[in-house]
Amino acid sequence: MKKALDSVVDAIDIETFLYCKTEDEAKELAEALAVELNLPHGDIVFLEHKGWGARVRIRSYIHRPGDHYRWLETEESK
Amino acid sequence: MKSVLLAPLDPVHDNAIKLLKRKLSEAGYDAISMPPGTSAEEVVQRALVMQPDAILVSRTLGYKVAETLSHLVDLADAAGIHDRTRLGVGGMAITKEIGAELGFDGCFVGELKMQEVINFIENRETTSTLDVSATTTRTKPDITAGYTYQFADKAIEASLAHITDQILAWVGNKTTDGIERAKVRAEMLDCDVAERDSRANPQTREALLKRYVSLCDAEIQAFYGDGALPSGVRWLGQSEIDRVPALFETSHGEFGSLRHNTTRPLFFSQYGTGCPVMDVYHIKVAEAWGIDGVFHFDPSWNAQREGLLEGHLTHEHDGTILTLENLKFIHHFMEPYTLWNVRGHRGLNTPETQVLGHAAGADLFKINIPYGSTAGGTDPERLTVDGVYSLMLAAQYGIPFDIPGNDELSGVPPYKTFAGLLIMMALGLRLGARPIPKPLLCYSPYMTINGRMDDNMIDMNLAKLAVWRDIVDTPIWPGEPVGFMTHTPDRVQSSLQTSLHASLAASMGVDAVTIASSDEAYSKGPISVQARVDTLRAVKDELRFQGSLKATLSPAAELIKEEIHQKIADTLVQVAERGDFVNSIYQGDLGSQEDGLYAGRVGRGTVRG
Amino acid sequence: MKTLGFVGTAKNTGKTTAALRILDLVSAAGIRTALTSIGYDGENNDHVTGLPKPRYFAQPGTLIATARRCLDYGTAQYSEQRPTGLKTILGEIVIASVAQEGYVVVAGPNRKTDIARLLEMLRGMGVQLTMLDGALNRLAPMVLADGMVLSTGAAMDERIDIIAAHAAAMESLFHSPAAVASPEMNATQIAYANATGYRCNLPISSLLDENNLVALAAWFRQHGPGMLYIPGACDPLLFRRLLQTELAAVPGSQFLFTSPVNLIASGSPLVWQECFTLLAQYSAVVTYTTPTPLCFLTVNPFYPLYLQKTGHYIPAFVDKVDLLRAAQAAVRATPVVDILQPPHPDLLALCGLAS
Repeated sequence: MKKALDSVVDAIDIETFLYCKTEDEAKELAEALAVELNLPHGDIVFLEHKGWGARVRIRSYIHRPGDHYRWLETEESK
Repeated sequence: MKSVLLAPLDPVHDNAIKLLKRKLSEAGYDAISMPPGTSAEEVVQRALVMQPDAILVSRTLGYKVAETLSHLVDLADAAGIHDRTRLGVGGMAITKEIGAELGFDGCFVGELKMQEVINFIENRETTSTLDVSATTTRTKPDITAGYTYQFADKAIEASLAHITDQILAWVGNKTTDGIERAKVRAEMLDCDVAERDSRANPQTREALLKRYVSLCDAEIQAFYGDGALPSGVRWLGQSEIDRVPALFETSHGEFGSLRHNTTRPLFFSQYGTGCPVMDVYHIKVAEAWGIDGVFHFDPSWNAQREGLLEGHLTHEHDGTILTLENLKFIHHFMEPYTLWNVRGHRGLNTPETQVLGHAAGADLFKINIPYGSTAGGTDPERLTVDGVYSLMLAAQYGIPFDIPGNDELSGVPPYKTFAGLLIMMALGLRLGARPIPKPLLCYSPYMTINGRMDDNMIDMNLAKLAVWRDIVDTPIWPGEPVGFMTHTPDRVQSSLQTSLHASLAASMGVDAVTIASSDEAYSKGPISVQARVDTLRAVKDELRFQGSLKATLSPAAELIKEEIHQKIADTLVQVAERGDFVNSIYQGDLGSQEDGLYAGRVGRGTVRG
Repeated sequence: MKTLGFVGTAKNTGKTTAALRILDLVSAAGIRTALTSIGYDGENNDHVTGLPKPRYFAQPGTLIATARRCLDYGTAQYSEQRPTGLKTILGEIVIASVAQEGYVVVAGPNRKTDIARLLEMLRGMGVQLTMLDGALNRLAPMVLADGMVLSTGAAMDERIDIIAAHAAAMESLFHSPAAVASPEMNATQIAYANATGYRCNLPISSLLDENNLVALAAWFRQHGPGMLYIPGACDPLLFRRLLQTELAAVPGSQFLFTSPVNLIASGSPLVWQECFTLLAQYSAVVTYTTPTPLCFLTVNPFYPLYLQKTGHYIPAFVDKVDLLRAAQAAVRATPVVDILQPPHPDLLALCGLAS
């Protein structure tokens, strides 16, 4: 059956706000979050820590240019 | 006077009805509105008495609302008014299919378009109100139309004439492998053997390809000789190519533009993900969200090799490989109104890029000798010779060329960059081409080091646009992209900066604007498609916010404008007096080492004649 | 040519399933058939609920009258397309002949005048049966049909007793005989006439507000029993009040409407049923200028269950056996079937078509 993930054109961005006390902690948490969410090669695109928390955007490329895109495949071609 | 009965059929909300009433009244219709909470029976009763030409209903679709709407239609049918009165519906979540199912004669999807409503009331052919394309069909505009290129500043014009004479005299009959390849490529196109799978005339192809390959670098020769692909490059499979049309075969409504109530500026964004298939997808998304035109960005190594590859090739890194097949494939999927620029302004393949771009259907070229031979990394002599030839091609093909002013990003002050743009303009005009200068709106090193934007970013940017109007009657296209060096990886911040710069440019009546995606400052991966949408949405809303407001320069901006103007004139005098354009680049007249600019080296010593 | 209308009491009550069954039967019987819709039918999923829907599947030779663009949506192939000049929200209607069987998306004209023109064209093309699919709870255009199949079910109401009572009420409106209006009466005016030769009218076709009710009541009060013609829509609540306030004049009166579908389109059939019962008790007569026959009813246990928490719909069902039994018990004079619970009586015969 077709997976929704196959329809992601290129990247998944996860935006969230993490409770944490330092920027380093925010980075660790963001990286851990990517792993917990099973995001392949999660990368912190953006992180802004102030006071008691951090805005963060984690990116994971599902399809990179030059890959074989699963959204381009038909049922027969799989 | 035609009459219209307006009914919210909603217990509370009637804003859309109030708006319609005002607009229809202004348009000369007898528009009668009913209050919120009006029942279908009351609407039909009123219609029986009033006998309107149309009844327009506004209602957000929700649970059991479909039945309420269809009850109105049914009651109107039973009462016998539907045969003379047209019924229209609009509101959130209403689609044309739902409108048809409910029995309405017209359906207004998305934001209010008065012409659509009026056509419906008048029962005009487009009437069905769905095929909006008939009323708003977008055509491909000519950015240079209406501009005379007359110089208001005669002193600058005189300096430019002098510089142009000198450049053309110096170039004379010089040639390069780049120019020779362009000629071979043009011949291949004439003989219909320019593509890898051209079958028309194998002997001719072989002979011409042999000549072509002899003019290439070893790496490119290895590609043609042994089929060796550069690192990170692979052939695009036929099955991949064949499946792309199916992605876009379902019909869609008209893609609106980003503009609110103006006809300019046009908005452009670049593509060049590395993969033609991904490019096509990104372009289609950008078109769906309102882009007017796109740029083809090739890989940076493309500019540093003698020779281009051929065939459908995909690439794991930034920039999509420039081949005739790739260009034609990408162009095939664009909307008919989308303007297409193939950039070739900076490398060893500049002339050939124009040939291929023209063959693939490009609408615009991009050529800038001073920038390409400094920040672009190409030897000034080489690019001057290749650039002049390229301008001649642009003139021959009748394709306008734009001139990016991105050397500012290295730290060059605007007046030096602008002097370079003006030289390119004058050179293009002399050769019969139509130039479009692109002053960059950016937070460049020059601005930060010299504190020129410490208070605000508006005065300097306005001055940089306004100065052009004082010098020459030319289209102006801020780029590339606007807001360069104001962006961060924060998508909100990045989109906001793009939209602010874009709307500032729009308020100056510019002709086109190049915008970035919100991934502009993210360097660790390809631009995502959602990042493209971010800035398109931001710009659209900023333009809606601003409407047709025009900017006026503050006293501070006027002073900056005068300063830039004077220094441009001084710079051009300096270049003219030196009498050697190529040497002017080496000497830093158009951007020095102190400014952060160095002459390029790629292709040094390759000019012949 | 016969025109058969398929209508439902709400979305998802099974009219398309009923129509598909008849389409199968007429295809097997070799009847030259055309299919059109006053709405939009044939999509995979319901526009509102997002739930899967039955799709129209057409055999070669069937004519489809639909918006041109809808021909691209299905899988059927067409041999010829004939423009009709009829414009709808989705564009021009064409009549296309199915060359290769497949799914079709049908979105035809929805205004009575347009439907009448289309039917005339189809008649001219030698069509023996036109199937006119309804949409949601819309019935009014079915006044042009020669017979109707009415579908109801849990999508209208999830309570079986309510579905049955509602079905019985609707069905009860289809038994009144045909009559013609007096020559001086016309379809744009409510008119009254009595045996003494007194005549009056209102310059409006429909009874939908209090002011007109007051005028009608005054006619009966002042001139006694007579014939009242309401050619357009009629709010049953107002009509009930007319009967209640002027009960003395009801005996011997005749009430002429256009069609039972006009009455159902105007309001609750339960109120109409109550009015009809009252009229029968007081020896008054109801007649129609166009008494569309009801061929049979179908019931459908399916309903889309709305989940408030997620905002989604999921499929749900009432007990199908109980529903069919209850509906059959309540509706005495017209056959009631569940298309998905055979055996069925001869449905083609019920529709007046030779099987």
